[in-house]
Amino acid sequence: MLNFFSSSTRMVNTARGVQECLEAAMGSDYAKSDLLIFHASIGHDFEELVNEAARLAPKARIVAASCCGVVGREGVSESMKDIALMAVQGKEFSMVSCDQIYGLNSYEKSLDMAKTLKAQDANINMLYFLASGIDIANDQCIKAFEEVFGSEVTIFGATSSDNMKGNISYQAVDTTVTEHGAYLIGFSDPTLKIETQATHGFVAIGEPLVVTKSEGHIIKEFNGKPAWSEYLNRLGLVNGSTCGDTIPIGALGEKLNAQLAKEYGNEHLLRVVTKHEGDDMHYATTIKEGTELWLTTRDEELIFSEMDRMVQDIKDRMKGSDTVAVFHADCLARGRFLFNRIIKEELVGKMQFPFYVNGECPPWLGMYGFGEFARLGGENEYHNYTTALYVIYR
Amino acid sequence: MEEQLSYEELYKKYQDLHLRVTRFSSIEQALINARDKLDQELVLYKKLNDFNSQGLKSKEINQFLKLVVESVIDIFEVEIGYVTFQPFDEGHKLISTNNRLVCVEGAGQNERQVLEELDFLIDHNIFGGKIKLFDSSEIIDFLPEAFFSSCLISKRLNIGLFGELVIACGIGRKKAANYKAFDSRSLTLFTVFVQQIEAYLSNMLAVKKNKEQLELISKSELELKKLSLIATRTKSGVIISDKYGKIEWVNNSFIETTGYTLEEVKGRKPKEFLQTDDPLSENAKKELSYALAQKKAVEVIIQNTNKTGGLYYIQLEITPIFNEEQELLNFIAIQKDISEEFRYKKQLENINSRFELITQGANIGIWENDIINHKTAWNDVLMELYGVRDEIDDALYDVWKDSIHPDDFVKLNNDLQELYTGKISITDSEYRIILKKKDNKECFVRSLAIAEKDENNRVIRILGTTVDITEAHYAEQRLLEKNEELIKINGELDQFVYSVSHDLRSPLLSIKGILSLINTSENEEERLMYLSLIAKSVDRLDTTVLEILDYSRNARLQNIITELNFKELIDNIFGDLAYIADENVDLRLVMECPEMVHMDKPRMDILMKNLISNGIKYRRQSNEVSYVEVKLQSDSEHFYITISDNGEGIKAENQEKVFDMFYRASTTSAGTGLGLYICKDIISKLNGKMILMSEFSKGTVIKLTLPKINKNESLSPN
Repeated sequence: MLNFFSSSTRMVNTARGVQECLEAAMGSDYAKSDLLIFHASIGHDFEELVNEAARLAPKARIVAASCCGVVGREGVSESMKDIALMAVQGKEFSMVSCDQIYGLNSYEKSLDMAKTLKAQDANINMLYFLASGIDIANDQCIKAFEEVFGSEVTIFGATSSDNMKGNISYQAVDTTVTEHGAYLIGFSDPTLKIETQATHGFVAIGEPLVVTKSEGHIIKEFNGKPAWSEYLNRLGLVNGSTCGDTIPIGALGEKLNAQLAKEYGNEHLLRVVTKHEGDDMHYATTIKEGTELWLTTRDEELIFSEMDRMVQDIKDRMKGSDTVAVFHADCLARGRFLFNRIIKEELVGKMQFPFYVNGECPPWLGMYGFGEFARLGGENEYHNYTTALYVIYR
Repeated sequence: MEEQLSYEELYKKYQDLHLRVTRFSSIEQALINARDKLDQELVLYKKLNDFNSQGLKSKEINQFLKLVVESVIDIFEVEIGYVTFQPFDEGHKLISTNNRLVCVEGAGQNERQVLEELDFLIDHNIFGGKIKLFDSSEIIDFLPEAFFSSCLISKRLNIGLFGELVIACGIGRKKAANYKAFDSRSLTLFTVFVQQIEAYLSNMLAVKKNKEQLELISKSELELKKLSLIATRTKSGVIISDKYGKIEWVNNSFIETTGYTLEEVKGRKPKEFLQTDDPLSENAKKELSYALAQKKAVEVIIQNTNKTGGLYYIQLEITPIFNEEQELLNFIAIQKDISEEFRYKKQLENINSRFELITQGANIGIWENDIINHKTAWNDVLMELYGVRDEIDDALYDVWKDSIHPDDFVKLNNDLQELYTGKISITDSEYRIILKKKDNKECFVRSLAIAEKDENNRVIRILGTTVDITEAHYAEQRLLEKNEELIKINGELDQFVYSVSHDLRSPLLSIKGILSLINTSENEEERLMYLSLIAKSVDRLDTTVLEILDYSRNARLQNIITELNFKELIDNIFGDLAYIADENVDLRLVMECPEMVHMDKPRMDILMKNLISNGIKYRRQSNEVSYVEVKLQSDSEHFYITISDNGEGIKAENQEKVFDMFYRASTTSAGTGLGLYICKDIISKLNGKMILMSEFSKGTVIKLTLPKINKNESLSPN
């Protein structure tokens, strides 16, 4: 049976930060942990981080991913020196990883990982996936996983990021650190269930940008014009602007059908652009020519009301079961770039409080990254600009 | 009235509105960014405030500087922060006076200056390799090529230490794109930050200095009390004089030793009333005067006199006292009465001197090996033995080691190893030495070595004696050889006496028994038979006596070489022995050289008679014809005599024993057991050789080799 423990800290010294996290999560028993999942801001040295973790908990498998900030039981922190940890005790998990995963080979790499994982344990009932958020086709990853595990397996997780510059992101498995890697953890504790849901609260405005030329996940033209230039023009940004400039305001919305829109509370599913090469834009999923993409604007009232609705939906589906642990992926554009600190902490409070058990926040590991996974219309789906909660309960 | 717009105009307005709506997002974002910036600034000042409050709690400078490093990273959101200390005495004085003090404040705007600064820091080993932070447990790798120079920011602080602090922070090239370049706001903040550090450090140092001074004062007062107590109560005499040497104060011990009161000596110079005319103190007085004139500390042993004229020796230690301007203030003299020690020392010197004389006279070499100081010392006797004169310590050891006979080296070395490692306390060895400086003369020495140990049972010194026992050794060896010879002779004599007594008594007892039978017998025939038995016993007695005489003669008489006819000698023997031979014995002589030879006739007669008679006596009864053949051959230097027979032969296991005294190989033998022993003795006297070859039941061959000797020429014994 799997047990979860969490903690977070903001500390300059990476090694000391790791130690503090382990001690805060598990007291003096940290060496007995079997799996350590770290999220850390880009200012940390990831090699130092995993090496120190391996030194302190030599029997544990270790994974780590970079992000723009963390959310833990202790609250939100968005600095260059944040670390958050979810420590797991128990043997009902398997793990696989890969390096050099990009948009063009996302399917193949994911398929290999899924097959290897399935061979390790056929009873896996939920998949925690984390990959680089720069240059990846997430829909292809989902497709590959479902081919092996079936669409009934729940995929949750996030994509790693930097501090919203779109330059680099890190993933680490045991003591190996990569920049375009991914890891997939399969949980097989039969006593555990998971509920996932995502929400954003943005509204589409104006006329859509129509994809007139694309290849896989790369958009080459909007409305017959070079994609990146047209995108900047529509956003009112000058030439030379970076992804860091576009991410806060440049969410692109794909229109959902009426049924999905009703469940989602929004007519559009949002996508982010984390990389461009000249005028070619790297979209987060495969994009077909003819797709209409709407620019969007935030609606604070909607953000708050939709958050309440999502939490309530999850609680309803849990039917009174106690929360065991919560994994949480939030879009980095929804951090300090969207709200001031007070509103943001209020928002996090709104999402955490309903899941308290006996007056205490359950183990909670959240990150501000590039993207989120959550079910929509019963299917595994990839999202951007959302808050996605993955509530594990028994 | 509203103006009616055309479709085109309406569409254009729609497009404008559309752009305004979307671009509103970017304007809104700019506002958010501005708000975020303000929010961030608030956070930064809050962090700065946190640093202030934590800094105030720091009690140790290292703890504070560690906080500085962590805060600079946290507040300025950089990758690396560091504080280094550069002592002036390592060639960094330039930094404090040079206008480069804050030259990198324009970092980000002036690349050239930054690079200069970077080079400077590398040159001075501030980074470029390992950086040791003030947290002494932490050493980090820092490679200059990984440094993103445009993000470097640093400041130097002269905080009144013997050097300067450099506080700096930066970002590695790899992650540089994720960080903001420093702007004027960062620099202002950094300046405020550094000013705070400066204020804290100055304050901490001032507090520390005050504390140290207070401790120093407290310590000085305590020390003064202690010194005063020591000076008053010490058993040594203490004199404090002014810079001219006139006494200002003396302690009780001085008063007790000298008999003078403080009032009596105050203002006087000690030498005026304490010094004597002791000739042994003359040099010490000169040394004392010179040192005092030079205002230097001095330590001498000198004879003094007390108030009643009693003499005593003191160990005098004088120290001049200077003020901060190095002006002489006082002299402090401490005098320890060492009269007893001095007397003992003299006695010891006399004992040593006598001991040295004894060892010289007894020719005993004395040596000492000081293990702690690696020194070796030999006395004159040992130097003389090894033929060395002025060798230094190390050379003495080499001389000794090189002289040890190779066959004795291992054992001696093992013994000494056990001694040096403390396993044994004493070792007594006899070994040979080869004196290279005395034509490789071989000597025997006996060496006694004793280990001296300290309180931790560790061997610190080896003391020893070495005596040349060469003559004694050879004398002893000779004595042993003689002793062995005497033991052998004594053994032989015992055996001889026993055997002779036995062989003489046996026939006598036989005669005594037969005589009693004769007395009781009345039968004439029986009596005649008894008489013939008596005659046989008498013959046996006679034979034994004759052989003893032969042995005695051979042992006593000198060799006399005369010319003789060998054929005649052998023929006579054949004739004499004919009565014990019968018709079955063929006695042959083969001469392969001239008959006339020069030999010792009496010895040759006994020798040949014994050997030929053995051949006859031990003939094999089953032979149809028994023979004994004597053959004489010669060359220029030797005679070769071969006596061969086809008799009983001697079993292999008995062949070595047949030459022993009174050994009888044959159970049928009627001999005395002296024959072959006498032969061996004769051959030895004649410097010859005798080889016995025999095969049981087939016969015996005896080969004699005798040196040719001229008439009257004497033989030297073996």
